[in-house]
Amino acid sequence: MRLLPIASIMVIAWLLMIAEVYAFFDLILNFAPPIHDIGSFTVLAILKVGLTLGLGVLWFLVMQGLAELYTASRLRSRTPTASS
Amino acid sequence: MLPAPVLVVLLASSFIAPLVLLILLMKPYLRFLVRKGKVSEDLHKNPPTKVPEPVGPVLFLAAVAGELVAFAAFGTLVPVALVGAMSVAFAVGLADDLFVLGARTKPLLLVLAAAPLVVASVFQSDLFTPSLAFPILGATSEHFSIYTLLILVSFPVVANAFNMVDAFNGELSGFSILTSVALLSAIALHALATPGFALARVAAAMPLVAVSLGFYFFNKHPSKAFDGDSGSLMLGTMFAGLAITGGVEVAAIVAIMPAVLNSFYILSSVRGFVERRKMGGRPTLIGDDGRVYASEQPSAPVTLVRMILLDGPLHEEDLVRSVLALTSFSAGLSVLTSLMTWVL
Repeated sequence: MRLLPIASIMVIAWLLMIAEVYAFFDLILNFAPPIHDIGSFTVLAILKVGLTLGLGVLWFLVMQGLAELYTASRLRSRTPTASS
Repeated sequence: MLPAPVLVVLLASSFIAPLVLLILLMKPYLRFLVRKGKVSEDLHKNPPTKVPEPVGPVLFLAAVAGELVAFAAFGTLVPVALVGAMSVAFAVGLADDLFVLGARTKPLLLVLAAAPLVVASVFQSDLFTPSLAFPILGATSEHFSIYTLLILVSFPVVANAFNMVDAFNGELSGFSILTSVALLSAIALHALATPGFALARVAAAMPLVAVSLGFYFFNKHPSKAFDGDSGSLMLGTMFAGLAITGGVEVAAIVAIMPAVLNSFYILSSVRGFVERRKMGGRPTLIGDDGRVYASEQPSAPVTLVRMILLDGPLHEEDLVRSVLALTSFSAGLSVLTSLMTWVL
């Protein structure tokens, strides 16, 4: 039972990664013509790069949030230990 | 195409040769380290015990022997490129074992581990495919420059992720066994699903499993050998190189998810690359009862182990069992990812 919350974080990380891949392929890639085809950075192309980076940032924020939530919940339910 | 029994013998040779060599070399090398006074304190014992370190050179020699067998048997440049990458990581790790490198110097030097792969791809164009294969969706289009950039980043990231799970008896070696088996499964599924995909890549993955398994017998609780950075960085680099040449990058990342999350939590809690000896406290401490406790210090780094211990203290063996249970789980997710990529 001790590992269940951390295993859940791992499953969320995995699912989020697959979902973000879908978002990247189905939404972002079709958002504007490929940058190497246009040959220059248009507003749409920059937005495309920004959205891709945004997916990465979202993954990090979710992971950070889950870790903080887990830590806070464990600290709330803790009793003093021999080392404290 | 060689007959199936011959292929099985060749694949088995690239597994058995490094395993036998490691077992033969380890005991005399441990005696040599003790004679030279190269021992480290096992801080998770009460009182601390002395353990010979680093045994990275033996792991390196065994892994190189396995790759040379794979090269002799299949004749592609994959094992040669891997030996090049491993040599760079081993040299960086050994320098850190002997002189202690800076927190930023190590990742920067590890970028050089990508060079042998990029150079070898000039001589063998199919050494790696510059695209990523995702579950269900298939492969992206090929982008050599973007992919090369990803290779450069991946070596320091994966090598350091391995290094950061090298804290307790049997933790890294057990982690490496489980993740390398998941990686081997991914490469084998890729080989089965892709006509013309060289079996040499499966053979090149065998030494990683063999070295991890052989090392586990010496590294499990109570440890008789510590690998040092020369071992952990080399194993991480080998893993990254195999994921790239095997075209199974996504499944590989999923397999090492506990190490990725561990590195991510450490880096975000200490705010950047900080040498472990300069961190604001240890993430865990040993109680008088011999159990491992989560540190109460707010400045101590957040690690996966510290998170596990927030539920209460554990004996070192139980703690490592917990980490390896999580790794088994991520290895399972990795196999599922491979099936979704290459079979479904």
